[in-house]
Amino acid sequence: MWNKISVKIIIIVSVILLLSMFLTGAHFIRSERVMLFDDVHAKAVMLNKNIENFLFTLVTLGVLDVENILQDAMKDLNKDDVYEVRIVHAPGLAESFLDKQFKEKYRSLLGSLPQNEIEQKVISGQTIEERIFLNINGKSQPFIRYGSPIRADKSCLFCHDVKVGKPMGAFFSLISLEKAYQIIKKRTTENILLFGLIFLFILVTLYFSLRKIVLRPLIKISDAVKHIIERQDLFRQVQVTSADEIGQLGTVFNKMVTDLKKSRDELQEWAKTLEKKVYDRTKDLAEAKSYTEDIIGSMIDTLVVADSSGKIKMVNSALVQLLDYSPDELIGKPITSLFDEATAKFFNETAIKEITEKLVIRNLEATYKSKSGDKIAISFSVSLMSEIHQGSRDIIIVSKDIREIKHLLEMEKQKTVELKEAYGKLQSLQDALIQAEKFNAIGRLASGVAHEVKNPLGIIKQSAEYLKGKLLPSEKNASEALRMIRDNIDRADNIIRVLLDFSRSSKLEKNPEDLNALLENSLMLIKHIPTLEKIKIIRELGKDLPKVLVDKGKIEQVFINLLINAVHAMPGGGDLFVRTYQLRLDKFNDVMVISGENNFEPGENVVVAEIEDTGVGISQVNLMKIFEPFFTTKDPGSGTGLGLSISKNIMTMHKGSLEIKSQESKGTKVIVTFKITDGGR
Amino acid sequence: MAKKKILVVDDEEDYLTITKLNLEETDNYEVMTLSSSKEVVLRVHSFMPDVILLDMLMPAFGGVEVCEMLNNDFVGAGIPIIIVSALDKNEDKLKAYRVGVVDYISKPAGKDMLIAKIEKALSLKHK
Repeated sequence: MWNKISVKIIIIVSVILLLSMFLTGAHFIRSERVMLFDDVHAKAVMLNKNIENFLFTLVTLGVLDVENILQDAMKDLNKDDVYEVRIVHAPGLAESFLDKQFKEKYRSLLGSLPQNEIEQKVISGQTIEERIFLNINGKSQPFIRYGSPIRADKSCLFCHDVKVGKPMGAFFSLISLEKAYQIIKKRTTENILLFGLIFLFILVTLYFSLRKIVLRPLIKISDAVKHIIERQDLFRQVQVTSADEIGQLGTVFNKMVTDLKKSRDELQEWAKTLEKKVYDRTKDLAEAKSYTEDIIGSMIDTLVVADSSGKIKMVNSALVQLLDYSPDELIGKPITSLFDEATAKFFNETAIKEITEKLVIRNLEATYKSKSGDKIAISFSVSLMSEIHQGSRDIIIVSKDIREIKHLLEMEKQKTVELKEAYGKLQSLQDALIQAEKFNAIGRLASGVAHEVKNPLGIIKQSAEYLKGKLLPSEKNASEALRMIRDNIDRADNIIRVLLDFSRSSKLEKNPEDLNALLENSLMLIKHIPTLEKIKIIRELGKDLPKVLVDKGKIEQVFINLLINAVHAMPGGGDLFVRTYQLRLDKFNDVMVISGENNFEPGENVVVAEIEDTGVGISQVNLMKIFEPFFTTKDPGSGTGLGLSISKNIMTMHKGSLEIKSQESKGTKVIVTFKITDGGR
Repeated sequence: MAKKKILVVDDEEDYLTITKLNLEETDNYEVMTLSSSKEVVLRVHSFMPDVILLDMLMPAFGGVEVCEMLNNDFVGAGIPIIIVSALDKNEDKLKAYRVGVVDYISKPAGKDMLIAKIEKALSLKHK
């Protein structure tokens, strides 16, 4: 109710009206009262004047008819109002001479001396007027007391010794204000009634006027608004009846409603379009989502999406299948939990840094760890998403199971190694074949030549012998010549014999032999060499050596060759070391032994014979050619140049090896290595 | 002491000549030389040698074949045969020994070697 505008207006108007009426009423009453009091005052002044005049008359006329004079004097006074008239005389002056009756009526009028300060003041010449309340018949009544001095006149000088103008006494009148008060009271009541009526009239008029001019149209608009709001009825219009502000308001309101309706229609239309668009878009999105999900789900490679803190956000089914986890077991876990320790360490220490710097890592090999702990070799690529989603720039890891590839690669590698080995073997075999072929060719040539040469040699030899028998003892020179013929036939025969060894060396008669014994035999066979006396032979022969399966004759031939070479390398004497020992080949042993044109394998047990001299040594250039047939550094006639090549060939045929290490002027070491795997122990 | 008869068979005429000279110089041997292997059996019958020195490689018949022919001949079968050849491979020697030769001499062999071997063969024959 208090919210109603009419009530508000009425309250405000009422307050203003009441305030103004109160002020107006108060002003009226106050004016009335002043008027009434002025009347009373005038009455009092008049009364005092009259009494004064009376007194002077009395004096002048000499107290003849005081009563009448006083009555005359009192004529104009409303006697009911005058409650008391009193004359006070100054001390020392004559008493009053009013009669008894007079005295009774105006008992305090005469003959009294001033009784209080006020009266004293009046006697001394002042005029006073005061309002007092007296208790009359038990009732407090208002009065005006008026006091004026009685000044001496010339006439007074007759009887009184006073100066003219000097106060001789005072006159006090007490006039009741009861009547005036009653009038005021009546007027006040009348005023209140009147103002009340006016007030009511104004209010009612105002109310109806407001209602008609302002409230009703406003209520109409308000109702219309309410109606529109409650029923959403934008067809409602307000009836405009005036051209005033409210009428304008109605017009504006109607326009607004029309506009609103138009806007609403447009909005509804737009909403419909939007709804359709949203529907279409949602459908598209759903399709796109399903398509994307299908792609991710159908991927063969595994996919992991992790947030920037490395927590797994999403995995695809390929990963779930590969690692045998369920997706729920992986979501929220740190990404490193997918890896084995090494990969996890790498990922934490290197990969994350690299991703932040380069944004992408491509095709790194790593290892996943499945739920059951199996290690799965993968190749993975990591990239950062191009945009930040939900505050995180996610990491995408795509990986490929490369176990099969790795296996294939491993096989390929192994095959390559095998192929390489096979190739190496083939090459050494080819070398051996070439060598063998070379030897064969030489052998064939040798055996062909041998026959053709040996026959003439035989004839020459016998011829020389025949001639020798025919010579006289004195023919020494001829005899010497015949000896030279014979010796050189032997030399030629020897060369042919060695050459023929080529053609025969392909056939071995292998038996388990003791290398130490073979060496001793060989040493025995060279003891006729003259320079051997100057040479110290130091034997360092291994004990309990396994026997080796060799052709005794051939190996002795090898040893003899090597020993003779050693002896020849020390024409001035020296030390000749002859060693044998057993050895287990490993990668730290001489690589040549293992990888050369032989069949040694790392880890194989071999027996080694070493013949070392402290002789002249072999230059690096000569070392390269040392195994070539017919290569010799010996004087013509003292070496065939076939010894080492035949020895090498013999060792190759035994699947052994023969190496030469030499330093010029320090000595030469020949290492002869024998297989024992196919030899008896 | 009667001279021992030695038949030397070789396709080299010079060899035959010098061998004949060397052997006959000793006065112990009567030497007949033959350069054609085809005639060996015929000459054995006419000459009746005590020892035959036979080459291995010859035109027509080789040493081994000659040995086989002699082995099948009632005269030749009893005559010790010594091979004198430029071939000195073991297999050649084996082939020769298999067909019953008593010795094998590699060329070039000296006069002394020949005589020693002949004497040895003769001693075998007399046993």
